[in-house]
Amino acid sequence: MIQDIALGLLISGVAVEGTSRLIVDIAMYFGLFVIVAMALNFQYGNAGIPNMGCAVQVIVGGFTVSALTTRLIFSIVKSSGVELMPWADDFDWVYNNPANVAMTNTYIADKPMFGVSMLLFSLAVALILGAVIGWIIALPAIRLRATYLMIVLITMADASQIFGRNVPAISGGTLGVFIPDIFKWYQGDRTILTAIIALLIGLVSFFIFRTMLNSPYGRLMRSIRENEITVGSVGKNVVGIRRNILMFASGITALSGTLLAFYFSYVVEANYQRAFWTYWPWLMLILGGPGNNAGTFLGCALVVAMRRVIIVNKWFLQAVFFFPIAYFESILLGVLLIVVIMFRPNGLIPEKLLYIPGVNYRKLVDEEAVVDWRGAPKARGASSGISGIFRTLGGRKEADD
Amino acid sequence: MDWDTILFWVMIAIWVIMPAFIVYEEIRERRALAESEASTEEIEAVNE
Repeated sequence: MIQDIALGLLISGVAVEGTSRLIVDIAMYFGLFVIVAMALNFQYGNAGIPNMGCAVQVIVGGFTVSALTTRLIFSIVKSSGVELMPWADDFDWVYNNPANVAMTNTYIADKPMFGVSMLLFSLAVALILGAVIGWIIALPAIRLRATYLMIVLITMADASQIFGRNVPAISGGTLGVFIPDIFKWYQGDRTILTAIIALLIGLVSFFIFRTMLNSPYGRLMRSIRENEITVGSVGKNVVGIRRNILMFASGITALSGTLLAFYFSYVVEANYQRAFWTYWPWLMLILGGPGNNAGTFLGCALVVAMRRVIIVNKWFLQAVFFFPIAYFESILLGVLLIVVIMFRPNGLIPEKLLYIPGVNYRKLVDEEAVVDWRGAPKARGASSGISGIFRTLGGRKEADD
Repeated sequence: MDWDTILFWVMIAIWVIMPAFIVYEEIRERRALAESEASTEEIEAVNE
């Protein structure tokens, strides 16, 4: 396999075919999962918000493209004189969609600026709607304790998928909808462009999260994670801060859903399953190490590469296993989560201490509280403690006091 | 070379640069943390 990848790198003149295709696929999914996992790290690793509803935010990004951008593109194309088929009601929206998308693609083919502007529009709207959905999620759930918050968010992730499945106007229901190829002006393979954009957004997200985590706000987040009651007692609005964190991270997460839609040029709710967009990012986070961006990257790289290689080599692996290979990924997810949590709970790269200039944080953390208990027996009386109880029961007089 | 090939290598470059930069940042932060601890301990030792 490694030789194949190396060969693919060397003979990449054949563009995106064979092993090069696999490399582009791994790069794309790496970029997408890095965005989701870093946002999750921002929420859970640094602020202690166990967001089990990442799939909600990703699906919002996908629905932004299918429900808003596609309609906007159709409207613009129609207003410029192209005779598109009707798309107003649900039936037309789903069944006229392929023909409309084909005509729209022809229109975009010689208008690169239009395609790029639609990409930027989609990303901006996904960011805003992701933040809005983060706020909506936060309304009933953010005051809850970790366990209940997780349950509510899992439920919301399922609910969002059910909405997509049953409301055709959003993403064509179970059939899904094609979306216009905004990279149609590019003569080559658009998936390389989307992979580059995903990786670049992942890099920019890293800078944004790093800056926020190294700021006083990042220290406030960590203090909430460690002890929210203490933070609340010094006058900080813990609920408000947690809500802001959830909104911001939701906005960033939604970008990956948008990019996935453009990668496939197709949106269907089944592409945004809870297991795929919530549990795998959690595994990446836990495997790499929560509270640590380098660990998140490492976890992403390992898990994405492993998954794609398994998917590509399923036929070969089937000969080895006694159970249907379709279950192998799910089994692997569960086994890896259990193994990592049991043997490496801090991940491969444990979280480092905060770097605050002029403050020796390690000393603060490691400092042993030396308390002088020599006066304690007098204050507590001779009957305190186990030995004191025996002394009292035995009626012995204290000689050492 | 066609555009696909050029972009493919641009993608590989970004893919390599991104983790390399993050590892570099991580090492730099850990080093700064260690230096800060060492200097604080030195100052405290002098004061004592």
